[in-house]
Amino acid sequence: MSGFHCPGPSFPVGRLSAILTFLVLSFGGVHIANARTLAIGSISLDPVGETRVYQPFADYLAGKLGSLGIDGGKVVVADSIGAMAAMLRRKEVDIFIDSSVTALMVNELAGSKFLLRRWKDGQDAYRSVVIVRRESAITSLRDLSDGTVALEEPFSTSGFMLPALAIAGSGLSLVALEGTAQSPPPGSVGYVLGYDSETQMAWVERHQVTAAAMAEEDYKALAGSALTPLRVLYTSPPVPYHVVVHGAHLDARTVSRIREILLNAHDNKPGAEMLDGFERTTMFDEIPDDLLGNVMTLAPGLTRLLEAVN
Amino acid sequence: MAAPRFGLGIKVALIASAIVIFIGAGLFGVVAYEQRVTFQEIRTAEMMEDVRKTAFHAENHLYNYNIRELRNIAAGIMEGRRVDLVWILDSEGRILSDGKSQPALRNKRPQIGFIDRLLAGGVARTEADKTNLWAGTPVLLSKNEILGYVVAAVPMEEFNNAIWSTIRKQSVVLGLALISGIFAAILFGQRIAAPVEALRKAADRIGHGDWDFKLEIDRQDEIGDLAKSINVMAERLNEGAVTRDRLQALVDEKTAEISLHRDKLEAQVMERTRELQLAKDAAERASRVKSEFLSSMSHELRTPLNAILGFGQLLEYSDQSGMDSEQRQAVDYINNSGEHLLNLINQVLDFNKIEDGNLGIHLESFNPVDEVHDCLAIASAMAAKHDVSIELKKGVESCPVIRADRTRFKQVLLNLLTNGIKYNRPGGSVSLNCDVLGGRYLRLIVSDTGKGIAADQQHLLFEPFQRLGHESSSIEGTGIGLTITKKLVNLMRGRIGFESEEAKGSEFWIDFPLDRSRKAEPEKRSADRPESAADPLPAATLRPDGAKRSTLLYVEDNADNVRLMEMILDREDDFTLVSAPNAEEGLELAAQIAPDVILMDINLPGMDGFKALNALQAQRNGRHVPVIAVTASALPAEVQRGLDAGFAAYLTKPIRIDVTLSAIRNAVAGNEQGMLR
Repeated sequence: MSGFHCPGPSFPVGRLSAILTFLVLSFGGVHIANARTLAIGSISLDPVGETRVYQPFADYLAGKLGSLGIDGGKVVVADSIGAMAAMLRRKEVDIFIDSSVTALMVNELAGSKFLLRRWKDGQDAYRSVVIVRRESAITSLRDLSDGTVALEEPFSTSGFMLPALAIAGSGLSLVALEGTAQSPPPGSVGYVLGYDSETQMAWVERHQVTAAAMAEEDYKALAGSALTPLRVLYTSPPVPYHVVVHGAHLDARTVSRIREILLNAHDNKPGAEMLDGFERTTMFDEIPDDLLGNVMTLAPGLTRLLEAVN
Repeated sequence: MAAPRFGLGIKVALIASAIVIFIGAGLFGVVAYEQRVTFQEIRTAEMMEDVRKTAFHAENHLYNYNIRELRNIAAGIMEGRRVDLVWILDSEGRILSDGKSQPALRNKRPQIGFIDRLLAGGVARTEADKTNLWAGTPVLLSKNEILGYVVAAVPMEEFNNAIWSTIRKQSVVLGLALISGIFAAILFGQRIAAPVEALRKAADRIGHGDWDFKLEIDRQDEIGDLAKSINVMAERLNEGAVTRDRLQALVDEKTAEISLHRDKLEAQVMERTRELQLAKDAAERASRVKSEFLSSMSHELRTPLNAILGFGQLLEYSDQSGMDSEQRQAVDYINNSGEHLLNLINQVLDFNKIEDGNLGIHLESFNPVDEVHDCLAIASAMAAKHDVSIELKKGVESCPVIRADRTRFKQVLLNLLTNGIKYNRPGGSVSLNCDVLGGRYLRLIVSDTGKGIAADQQHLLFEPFQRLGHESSSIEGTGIGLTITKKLVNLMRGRIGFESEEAKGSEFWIDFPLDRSRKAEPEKRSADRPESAADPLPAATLRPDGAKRSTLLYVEDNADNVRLMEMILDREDDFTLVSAPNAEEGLELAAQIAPDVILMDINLPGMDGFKALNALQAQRNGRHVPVIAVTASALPAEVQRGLDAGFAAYLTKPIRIDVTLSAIRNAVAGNEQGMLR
C-alpha cells in the first residue's frame, strides 16, 4: 500500500489542510490586502515570540516601500500551513517566509509564488537523511517495511516532509503510531514523531525504532556521540533552507520593489543590522534553479499528500 | 621625649570603638559560620527536592527515552537557577540530557566519584567535594529496576560567593555600625571629657593658688557632685590660707631663732673643740714632758745610785770583820735603801710605760719552777730581816709549763711575796702554793698572816697610789706595786685576785694560762745556777785558774763610777783597768794599749758611746775588741738599740757587781776565742 495515511487528530496537517481548502474556496481575487500596511506571515505555535522576531523585518521592509503607498508593516502568525494559505488567499498576508518545502505546500494551497532564498543562520540549503544502526540488515527505504521510523514533526522539511515523501515515493505507506512500543500494520512503515533529532537518535541507538529521519546537519552533530555505530540509509536532494514567497495578489511592481530591497538589505548598515537580528539572516538571494527544481519535484508528492489529507 | 598623651575622650572613644569592633567581628564570624552551614544544609535539601521532582517528572520520559522532554525538564530546573548542573542519566549512568541540545557528554558516563557511588548505592544521596555540592537519585521503574538517574550539582564557589556577598553586605552594615559607634563613642567621650577637662582646669587653678575660682557646672550627676566638692575644697583652702600664712610666719620666726641658736651652739662647740684640742695638746705635751722627765730622772738618779749601790755592794762583799754591828747595819741600810730607791725608780718607769701603752710583753712557754725558786731566794733574805718565815708548798715543785713573760712573771710573783712579807707581823709566815684550774690555768697562791685588808678598802687595792692606811706607816711603798702587778698579769693573759680578812691575813692568787701543748715536767735547775742573786759571789769562783791578766779600758766621765769600777776590779787579780774621761781619749787609749775589753758609758761629753763604738769598729785593731755598754739609760728601747749597735753586753746602772764581772769575763773569753780562731 502506498500513500500517506493520517491516523486522525494526531496528525494536524490533515485538519489544517481541510481548513485551507475551505479558505481557498471562500476567498478569491488578487489585490493588495492592505493598501497601507505590509503583512509578513509566518507559521508558528508561538505567535508572540514570532511577532517579536519578525516585526523589525516588517518595519524595515515597509519603510522602504513608502513610495508604493505602504506606511507600515505587521506580522501575521498562523498556526498551520492551511491557515497561512488561507490568509494568503484572503490577501491578509503579503509576504510569507518559511522552509522551502513548507512554502511549496503553501504555494500549492494558496497560489503564492517563490520570491527569494533566505540564508537563515548562515545556511543556504539543506537536506534530510534517514539513518539506521550500522549492524542493521536494512539497505534501502523499502527494507523499512514493517519497521518504525522516527520522524521529527509535521512542519519540518528535513525531519518530516522530505523523508516522508521519499518513503512514500519508494512505494511504502506510512502509518502513524501512538508510540515506539506500537507496531505498524504489516507491509507498511510506522512512524512516530520525536519532535527532536536527539530523541530520534536515541530511539535508534536504543533499539526503540528501526530508523530515524532528520536534517543532515543534525545527524552530523550527533553521530560522533552515538551510543552505537550508525549509518545513513537515505539522503534527500538538497533544497533551499528558507525562502520568501509572495502572495499572488501582489502586483509586479511591488514584488519587484520588495525583491530589490531584500537583495540589497545586507549591503547597508541598517539592513545588515536588521538581518542579523532576524534569526541571524545573512542575506537574501535568488533561489538557485537546481534547488528550486529539487523543491518543485516534490510538488506531486505533496499534491498526493494533500489529496490524501483531503 | 614624652609619651603621647591621650585624653579621656579619646580613650573612651577608643574603648567603645574596640567594643563595637569586637562585638561586630564576633557577630560577623558567628553569622558567617551559621550562614555557611545553614546555607549548605538548605541548598542540599533544595537540591534533593529538585532531583526528586525531576525524577518524578522524568520517569516516563526516561522510560520512553524522550530526550526532548528530558532536556526541557533539566533546562527548566536550571532556568530556576537553583542548580547549575543537571544530568539525567540512563540506567548505566550515561548522560541522556544535561538540559542543552547535543550535550558534549551525550551517551558518556561522567568519571566522577559521586556518580560511581550513586550507581553503586542505588539510593538518593548528597555529597560535597572540593568543587561541588552533589545530589542525585535513582529513577525507579520498580523496586528492582532502575530507569536512570537524576543528578544535580552546585559549585562550591556559589557558597563562597554567597558568603562573600553576605560578608560584603555585613561589612557595609558593620562599617556603618562601626562608624556610628565611633561617632557615638566620640560624642560620649566628649560628653564625659568636657566636664572632666573643666574639673581638671579648675583643680589646676586651685592648685596654683587661685582659691577664689568657682566651677560653674550644674549637673545632677557624679560630675556635678565632684564640681561642688571642688568648690567646697577651694573655699576651705581659701579659709585655711590665712591660718597657713600665720603659721608660715611663725615657722619662719622660729626657724630664724633656731638658726641663731644653732650658730651660737656651733660657735660654742667650735670653741669647746678648740679648747679641748688645746687641752689635748697640752696633755700630750705634758705626757711627753713627763716621759722625758722620767727618762731623764731615771738616768740622773741611776748615775749616783750606781755609786751608792756599787760601793754598798763592795762593802757588803768585803771583809766585814773590822766593822762593828752598827757599821754592818749601816751597810745594810745603804744597800736596802739603794735597792728600794732602785725599785721605786723601776716601778715608776713601769707604771709610766703601762700608762703610755709602751710596756712590751714577750710571751714564752716555760716551767716556772726555777723562777719561783729565784723569787723565793730573793724574798727569803727580806723575810729573814722581817722575822717572817717562808714556806713553799710541795705542789709547787711540779708546776706545769705556762705561757708568760719570764721576767715579768718573776716581777709579779716577787711583788706578791714581798708584799706578804712587808705587811706581815713579826713571827708571821708567808706561804706559796699552786694549783691547776681545769687544766687551763696554773694558780700561784701567796698567803700571809698579816693584818689583812679592811673590807671597805678592798675595792681600792689595785688602784694606783692607794696604800690603804699605810701612807704614814714605816712600811716602804709607792702604792703602785699591785697596780703594775695587775696590769702585767692581764698583759700576760692571766688573772689576779685576793681574799682577805682583817686581822687574819690575806691570800693573793695569780693565774697563768697553761701551755697545753707541752708536757708538764719541771725544768731541772742547773747545777751552776746561783741559789740566789743576792748570794755573795766569792771572788775565787769568778776567776779562772791560770788565766792571763786582761786589760780593761773604761770610758766614763763620772769619776765616782770610775773609782767604783777600779775598786771592784781591784778585788780581782786578773784585770788591769785603764780609764778615759771621754770617748776621744778612750779611742786614743784603745789604739795605744789594745785592751781586751772596753767598758763604754753612753752619755759621754762630746762623742757619745754609739759613735765611739762605730769609731772603734772602724779601727783595724779595735774591730775585735768587745765593748760593753755601762749606762744609766735603762729603757728597753735604749737597751735594744745598744745591742743592735754591736755592744757585747748592755749593763744598766746601778750595776750589780756579780753581773758586771760575769759580763766582763764572758767578753774576755769570747775575745780570746775569737783571737784563737
